Amino acid sequence: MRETRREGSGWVLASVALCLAAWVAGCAPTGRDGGVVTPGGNGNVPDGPDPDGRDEGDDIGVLEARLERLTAEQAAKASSTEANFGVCEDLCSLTSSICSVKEKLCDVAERHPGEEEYQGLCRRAELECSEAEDSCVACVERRERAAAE
Amino acid sequence: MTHPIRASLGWGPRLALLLGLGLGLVACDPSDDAAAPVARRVPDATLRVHVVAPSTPTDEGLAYLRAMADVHDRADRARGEDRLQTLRQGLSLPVPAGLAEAEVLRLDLAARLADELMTTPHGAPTARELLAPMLDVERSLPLDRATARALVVLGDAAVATGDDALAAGSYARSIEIMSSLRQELEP
Repeated sequence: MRETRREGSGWVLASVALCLAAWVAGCAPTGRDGGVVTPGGNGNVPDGPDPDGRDEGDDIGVLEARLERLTAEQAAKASSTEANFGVCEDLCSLTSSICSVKEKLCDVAERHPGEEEYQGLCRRAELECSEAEDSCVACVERRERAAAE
Repeated sequence: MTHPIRASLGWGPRLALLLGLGLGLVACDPSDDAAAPVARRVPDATLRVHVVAPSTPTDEGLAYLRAMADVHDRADRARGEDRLQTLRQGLSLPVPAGLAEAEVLRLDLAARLADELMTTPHGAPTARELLAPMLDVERSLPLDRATARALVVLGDAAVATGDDALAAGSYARSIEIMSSLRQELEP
C-alpha cells in the first residue's frame, strides 16, 4: 500500500516535471486565447487562483523566486529553532548552577541566624534562583510553541 | 587654701603618680585586651566585572591556547599528584601579550587546580591561597562562567577553612555573575 502510494506520487511528480520542462521549452498546451493552462485543466479555464485561493503566478521566474524564498524561510525557521534550543540549554544550565550555589550560600547563612549581612545575601540568592527558574521554563515553553507552529 | 595632701607632695611624686595613672589607663585600654571580642567579619559581595573582548589572533596566542588545551588533556589522563603538577605547570605558562582570553583560561585552570586540591588532605587552605588573590573584591573579574566557577571553589575552600564571611561573599558574587550571564541570554 505504502509502495503504491509512493509510486503514485512519483508519477505525479514526474508528470509535473515533464509538463514544466515542456512549458519552459515552449511546447506547453495552450488555451484558445494562447494563455498557459493549468496542467490537468480542460484548456478553457482562464488563469486564476490555485485551489487554495492564492495566485501562484504564471511566470517561471516568479515561481523560482517564490520557491527560493520559501526554502530560505524554512531554513531560517529551522536554524532559529536550533538557536532557541541552544539558548534554552544555556539558560537552564545557568539556572541549575545559580540554584545550586544558592543552596550553599543559604547553608552558610543558616549558621549566622542573627546577622543581616548573611540573611540578606541568602534572600537575594533565593530571588535570583526563582527568577532564573521562571526564565528557563519560559524559554522552553517558547521553544515548544515555535516547534509546534 | 592648699589641700594638705597636695601640699605634702613634691614634683617628683606628682610626676610618678601621673605616670602611674597614665600607664594604668593604657593597660586598661580594652582594644589591647586579648580577651576582647575580635571585630566581626561580614561577607563582602562587591563585584567588579569586565567583558573579555576577543583579541586579534596571533601565532603566540594560538600556541598558548593549544598549550592550555594540552594541559587539560594531560590532566584528564593523569591522577593524584601528577594531575596537580600538570595543572600547576599550566598556570606557570607565560601569557602572550595582548591575549585577553588568557585571563579566563587561567581562571578556569586555577579553579580546576583548586578543586583538585580540595580533594587532598589539608588542600583547602592551599586552594584558598591560590584563588583568593585572583578573585579579590578589589579586582575587576571577567564576566564569564569560568569566573563564576572559580568563585564557587573559593567559597567551598573558605567553608572548609572556617571563613564563612569569605564563603558567603564568594558564593554571592558567583551568583551575580551567573545572573548577569543569564540576563544576557534573555530574548
